[in-house]
Amino acid sequence: MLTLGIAPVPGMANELGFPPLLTILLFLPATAGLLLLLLPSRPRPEGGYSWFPVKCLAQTAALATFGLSVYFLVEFHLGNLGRSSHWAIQFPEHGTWLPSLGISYFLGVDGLNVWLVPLCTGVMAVAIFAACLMINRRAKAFLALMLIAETGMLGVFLSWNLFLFYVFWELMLVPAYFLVGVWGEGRRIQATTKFVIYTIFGSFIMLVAIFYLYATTPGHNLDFPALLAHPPSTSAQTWLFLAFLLALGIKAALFPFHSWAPDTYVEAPVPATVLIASVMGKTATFAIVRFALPLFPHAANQFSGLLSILAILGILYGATMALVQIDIKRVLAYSSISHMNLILLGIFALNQQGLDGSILQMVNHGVIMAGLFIMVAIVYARSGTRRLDEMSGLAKAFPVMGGFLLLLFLAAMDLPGLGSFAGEFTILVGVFLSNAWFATIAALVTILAAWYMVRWFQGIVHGPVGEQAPEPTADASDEAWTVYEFPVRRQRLTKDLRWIEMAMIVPLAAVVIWLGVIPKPFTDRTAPTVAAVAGVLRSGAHGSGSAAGTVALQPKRMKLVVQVDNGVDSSQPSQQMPCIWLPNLAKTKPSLPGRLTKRITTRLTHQMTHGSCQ
Amino acid sequence: MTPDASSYLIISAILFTLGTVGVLVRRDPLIIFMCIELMLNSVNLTFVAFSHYLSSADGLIFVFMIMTVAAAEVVVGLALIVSIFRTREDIDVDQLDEMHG
Amino acid sequence: MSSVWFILLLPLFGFLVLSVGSPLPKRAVAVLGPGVVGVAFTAAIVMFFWDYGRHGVTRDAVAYTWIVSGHFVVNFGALIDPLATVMCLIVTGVGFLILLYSVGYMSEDVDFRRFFCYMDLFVFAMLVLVLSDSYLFLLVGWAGVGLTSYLLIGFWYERPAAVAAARQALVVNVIGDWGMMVALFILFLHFHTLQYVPIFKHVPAVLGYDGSTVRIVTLLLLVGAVAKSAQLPLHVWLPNAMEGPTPVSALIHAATMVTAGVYLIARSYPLFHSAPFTQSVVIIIGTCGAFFAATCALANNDIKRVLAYSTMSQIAYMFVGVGAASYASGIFHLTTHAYFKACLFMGAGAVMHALHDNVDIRRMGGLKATMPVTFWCFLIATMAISGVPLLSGFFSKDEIVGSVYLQAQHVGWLWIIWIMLALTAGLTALYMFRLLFMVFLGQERDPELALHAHDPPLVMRLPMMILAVLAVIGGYLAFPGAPNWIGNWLRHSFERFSPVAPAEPATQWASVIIVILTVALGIFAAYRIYYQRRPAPEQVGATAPAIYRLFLNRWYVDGLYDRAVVRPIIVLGLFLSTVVERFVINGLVEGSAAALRDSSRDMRRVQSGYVRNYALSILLGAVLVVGYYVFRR
Repeated sequence: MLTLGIAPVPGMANELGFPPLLTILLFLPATAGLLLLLLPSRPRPEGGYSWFPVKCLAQTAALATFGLSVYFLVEFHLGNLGRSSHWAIQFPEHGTWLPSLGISYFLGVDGLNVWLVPLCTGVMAVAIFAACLMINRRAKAFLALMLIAETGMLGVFLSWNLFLFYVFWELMLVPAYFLVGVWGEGRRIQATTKFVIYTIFGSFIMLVAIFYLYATTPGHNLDFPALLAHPPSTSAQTWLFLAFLLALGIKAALFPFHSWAPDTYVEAPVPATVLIASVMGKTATFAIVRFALPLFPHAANQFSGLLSILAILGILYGATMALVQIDIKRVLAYSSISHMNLILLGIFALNQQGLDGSILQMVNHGVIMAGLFIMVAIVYARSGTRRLDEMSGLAKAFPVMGGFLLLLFLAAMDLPGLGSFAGEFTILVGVFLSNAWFATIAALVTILAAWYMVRWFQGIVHGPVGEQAPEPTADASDEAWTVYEFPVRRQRLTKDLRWIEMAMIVPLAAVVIWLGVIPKPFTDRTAPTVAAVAGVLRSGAHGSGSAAGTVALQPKRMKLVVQVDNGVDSSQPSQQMPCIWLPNLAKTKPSLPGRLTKRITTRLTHQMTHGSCQ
Repeated sequence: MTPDASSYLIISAILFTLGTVGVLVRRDPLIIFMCIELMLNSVNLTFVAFSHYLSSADGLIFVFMIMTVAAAEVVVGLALIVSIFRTREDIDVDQLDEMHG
Repeated sequence: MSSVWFILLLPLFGFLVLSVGSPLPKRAVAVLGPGVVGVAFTAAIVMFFWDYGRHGVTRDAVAYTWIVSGHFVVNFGALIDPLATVMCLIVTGVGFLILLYSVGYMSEDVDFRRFFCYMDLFVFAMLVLVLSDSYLFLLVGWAGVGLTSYLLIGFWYERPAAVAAARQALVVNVIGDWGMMVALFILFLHFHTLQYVPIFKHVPAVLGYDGSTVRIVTLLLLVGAVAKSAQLPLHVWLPNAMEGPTPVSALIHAATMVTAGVYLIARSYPLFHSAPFTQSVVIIIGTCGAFFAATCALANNDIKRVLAYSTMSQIAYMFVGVGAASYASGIFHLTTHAYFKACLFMGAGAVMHALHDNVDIRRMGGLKATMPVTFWCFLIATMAISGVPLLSGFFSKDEIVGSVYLQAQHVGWLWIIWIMLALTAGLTALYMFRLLFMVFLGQERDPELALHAHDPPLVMRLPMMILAVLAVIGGYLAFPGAPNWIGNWLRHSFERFSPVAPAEPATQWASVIIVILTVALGIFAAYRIYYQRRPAPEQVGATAPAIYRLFLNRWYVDGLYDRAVVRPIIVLGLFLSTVVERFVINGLVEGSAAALRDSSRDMRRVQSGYVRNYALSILLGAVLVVGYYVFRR
């Protein structure tokens, strides 16, 4: 099936399954991206190329990926599988890859990523649509890179092996570098270099931590369940946690490691901004919850106060910075930093509400930021400027655009009743339960958020109707696929929001409203897993840092269940776990390359030592 | 009388030093090559000597490998020298400093 | 039970249809916009009579579970009790009349549909606010009305003043939201729920009487109430909010939304009852605000801003009422105030309509002849708000002042409060009759402006007249001596969780007589100054210029906020973005990058390009390694 040389592990029957849907989901975008490059690009008689087939293929692939990801959302098993502290890995797909290094190919879905995967695929589908609309210079390469980046991000969300995670973590960075560096505007080279070097700097330190884990874990196994079962000593946890947090914090724009973010967001082309701000940032916050917290619970408890203070500083700092920016894209960049720090604050609360709210807010923030950045492009196509002091009163000519801007502006300022409020209120409840002052101070950001967002919104659509806003007229050359040309704008649009633009915004707006009105289906799916994470963290808080989890195979539903022993409800008998299965990959049959290497080395040594004495 | 191991080692050390000095002070790449060969062979001599006195075949194996590598090296090196001479008409190694930092 | 969902969803339905229905003809909008609220009002009346026969039974209906996260569980549900029913009737009833009025008032506007769209959304949010059974959805409605208030203040977005006013209103209201949010966190921490009923049941057991926690919670709730109700010190947005269309001022900034703070305190009375300290704060804020706003209204020359300050002043009375634990009287004043203040704003709107949107009362005068209906309605409402005996404002205001008088017998400092309230009652009469005399009586000051003045069309006249009638009879809900109908009805709400001292059995005649005297004095002064003497605009305030300027400039509070709060934050932001971000944050990152670059510039000299050098370094390295092993011992 794959080029990775996967062999099934004895004892985990049907591990890869047929069809291996998660694997298909994971590699569908990248495969499509590589296929794109094979498509011929036909020159147009009037110059340039016709990208239509390329765009169709890319969009189809993105939508298919989204559809497949929704399948996992629908089929996701609700409930707590008998015990509240079960950590169920659903749809597991496990195969050996490089067993001698403890590296396996291990994908699975749980409450943490069950929503983030559709977020990634959905927002990417919208972003690719936006790219089809806005990018006409070397569109094939652009779309291919977007799709490859999507595979990278999906891999981060789906990986249950630390090394696999790291591979995808680095994989998503490469396309981002080119997306910003080639198609960006202004100081794009500086921005993208800063972005890549900054994040790689953190990643390498994380890689060292991963090597350490490999060396110290019994059985040299980097699978998450094995790591969870053997947490490092409390002294090692400290620096391991900090190494992870440095890498993930840089990517999540944790204050004061955020300085790459505003430049990158502003200089990148809008679809790439959506990719980086909406989804790529979430991979970092997600990885903190997935790996950094449960693997190093003692250190997490130790540093939560310090990190919370950094996050609060970042929240207020980003909001204050957003207040004085002139560029509408830069306002959003700083507001994004502010919100990302709020998500981090919720994570560092280390309790159920904080984590639930953070995951909810990751999705909200991804959707809202995608909408807002796309709106920036839509506004720019009409105003011809991105400076707040150069535009005014656009609502007169473009009322529908104003309406959507209003909705997204309200979502970004956490209006109760819209999605971000549900997330941020839950986050703040969690933070309040862990530290009342933190929540009280962090909640002040709502005031600043209202202030900078209303300044942003009013600056664009309100005020005197000036020269900048053209009167609504019939637009003869309303060819949707060619009118946008970023960063070089061919002509200013004079029509209100067209259906093709609405197609990008309406789904995002619908999600924002849905998550605000009924967020329960969301937390229903996240809560059991989050409870397990919170349980691990609680056990780490008591200083033990000792064995926190075991892994069990559940034969009926073919699920891996990480049983978290947090002492909360251990009195209940466990009925669903007829056999305990501890992964011991050393005993399993290694893959073909592994076998070959071993045979050659054995034979050579033999000849060298014995053969020459005769 | 059979010479003891130290004689071999002394000769080997002299050869090695000669080779090293040659590599360091000469500018003609062909001479440098020959000096490198000298160094390699001095090491070979050491290997053979040790192999003999320790009654182990390991050293001999290494000698073969070194000879192979040296032959390969000469092939590649001479080819490089020829192509450099063709392009530059000059093979003074001190002139080949394009790669300096 | 289903009637409550009907009431709630109808305005939402109107909003949704209007928000997407751009092809709707104007007539359909004019029917649909007010129609949904009218039907909701009918349903509210049905609900009221249904409950009235059951002596105000309280019902709690849960629609669905909003969120579950661990033990943080929030349901969306409705709590139907007398308080909610009264608020619901006011919101839908007065809302319907004002929407009807708007059909005439906004008929010339190009954004007719958008206006009704926002108004229906407002009614929906306000209903969520008053019908919710938990603090969380109270907050949702709370922010929703703040949002619609923002949208409607900035309705005419081409005007920079309206845009600025809308922004100010939004930000100040969000300050209140912050207080509410933190209060909610504390409540959740202690009660593990945000539903009213479980919280109120356990207030004394969990928080104790006059403990520090209950003080903090109530003070934080008070921050929300003060911001929403435009009380000191977060009042600055309300006068500026008059930049919005006049029906908006009538509905949102007079009758309903700004009274939400009073509702909040009345709704949370078990909490406030356990926090006497906060109640004192409420009384003091209310009294100071009533006096402050009355003085501002005295000097202002904008017809709508005078009414705005009078709104602030009257809400301050309600604050005193609920602060003095006389919740029913606070709600009673809220009800009567909704009638006469909405009527006054409608009158002001009619005047502006007639005078081409002129709001400067120094250019008005003598409109009685050309606009008789408006004049009579305005007169009735003015008398009602001033507390002229036998009109509604007299009874409701009297109950508040009387309850303070009664409590002052036991608590000494309340005498000061009582004196100030009585004094403010006189000031109220003075500034309201000043407005009436300057606008409607005497000579026309600007004949050209008033050339085509006329009474408004029927669709605007009718709601005005209905409200004038209500302003007269509304007070008889609690006629002294007769059974106090509204008090008895609301008692079902206010006696449920902690026995509140029943409304005072007898009217405090001493208090009543003194208030009547001050009111008469105020009216007489207004008559002497503004009817008989009629000073030229520049003469006004000549006798006491310092005080006049203080009042005219609203005690310099607005400028103070601008200089002490707004500009420092902006300057801080500029400082951060120009200095800290560039030199500290980026400086650290780019500095370390530059340091690496510089050091590598030195390092690369080692790469000389000479084979000899490399060979020598290999040799040295080999010597070092061998030497290490040789000399290790």
